[in-house]
Amino acid sequence: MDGRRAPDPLRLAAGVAATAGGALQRVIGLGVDTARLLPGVDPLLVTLEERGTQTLRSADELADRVLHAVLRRVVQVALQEVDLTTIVRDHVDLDVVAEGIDIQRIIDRVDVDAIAARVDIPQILDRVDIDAVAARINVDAIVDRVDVDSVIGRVDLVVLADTVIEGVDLPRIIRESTDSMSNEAVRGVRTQGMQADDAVAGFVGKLFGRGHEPDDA
Amino acid sequence: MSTPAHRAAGIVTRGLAAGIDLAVVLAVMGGIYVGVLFLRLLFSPQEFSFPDANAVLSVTLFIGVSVLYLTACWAVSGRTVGAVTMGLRVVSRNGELIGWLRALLRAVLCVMFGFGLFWAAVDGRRRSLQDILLRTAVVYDWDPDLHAVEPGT
Repeated sequence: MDGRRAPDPLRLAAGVAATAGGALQRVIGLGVDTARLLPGVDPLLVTLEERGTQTLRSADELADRVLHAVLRRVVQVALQEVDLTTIVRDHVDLDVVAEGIDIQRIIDRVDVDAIAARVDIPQILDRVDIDAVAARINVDAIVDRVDVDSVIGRVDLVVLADTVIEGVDLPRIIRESTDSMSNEAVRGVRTQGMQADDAVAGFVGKLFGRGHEPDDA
Repeated sequence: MSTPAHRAAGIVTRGLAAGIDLAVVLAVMGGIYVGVLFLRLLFSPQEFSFPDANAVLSVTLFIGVSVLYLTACWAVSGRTVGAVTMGLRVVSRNGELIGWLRALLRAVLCVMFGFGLFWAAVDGRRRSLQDILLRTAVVYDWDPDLHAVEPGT
């Protein structure tokens, strides 16, 4: 054998078949070429070729169809038999897959406005118990966390006070209040003066033994 | 504002009104005094000194200012400052304003014989001596205008 390995019978058989096929093809080609020289054979050959082409195409289509049907059936059965989720879970490293996903791109492609437009906010609000939520809020804690001094420090109190004072018509308020005050005071003085007049008149009337105070004056 | 009927006013309101009028007259006199001081200071600053209080002059000035003040007020509107404050008005028997002459006479009588007011406390129709003499009346009248005075009060 001289270090050469033993010939593979399969390859040998293939080689023999190829050689035989090649020889057969050459013989047939030679036969055809020879026959073409004979008158009337060429059109027959053309017809035969066309027929062969059609037959081959039909066979191809049939094979395709059969293959599809068989494959579909096979996959169906296979899917029924196999738990894909378990397989994926057992054999696929989902973390690696997830790392490969560009979430940002997906987010960019999502039309949030359209989604928001389809959300029925009032219905959601109806289903939310605001009171319960509010009861769980600790207002004191929130207030404790607010730095009121710094807020006040950021407010320009002088400007604010000026704005407030500009909006208040102080002279008018003083005028009206003093007006009403003086009116009330004058009314009080006059009324009390009249009552005192009547009291004095009544006293003097009794003193002099007069009857009721005459109405006309 | 509910106003009382225009009936005769009594001694208390009239006394208070007289007191207010007295204060007004004194204030006017004070103003005159200060004005005279300034005038003297203006025209003769070198010889300026505070004038001594002259009793005769002061009384004369008081009487003059009072008579002028009361006459003008009563003749024009029937109300002095005190009367406005207390809601009073001096009217004639038929409810109209007293004329200038009667106002002047009443002012002189009131200033010279102020005690005549006290008769209003005793009189059944609340008239002072001046009212009896001059046939006038002092009535409650809280309205600023005279048209509200009813005749015959």
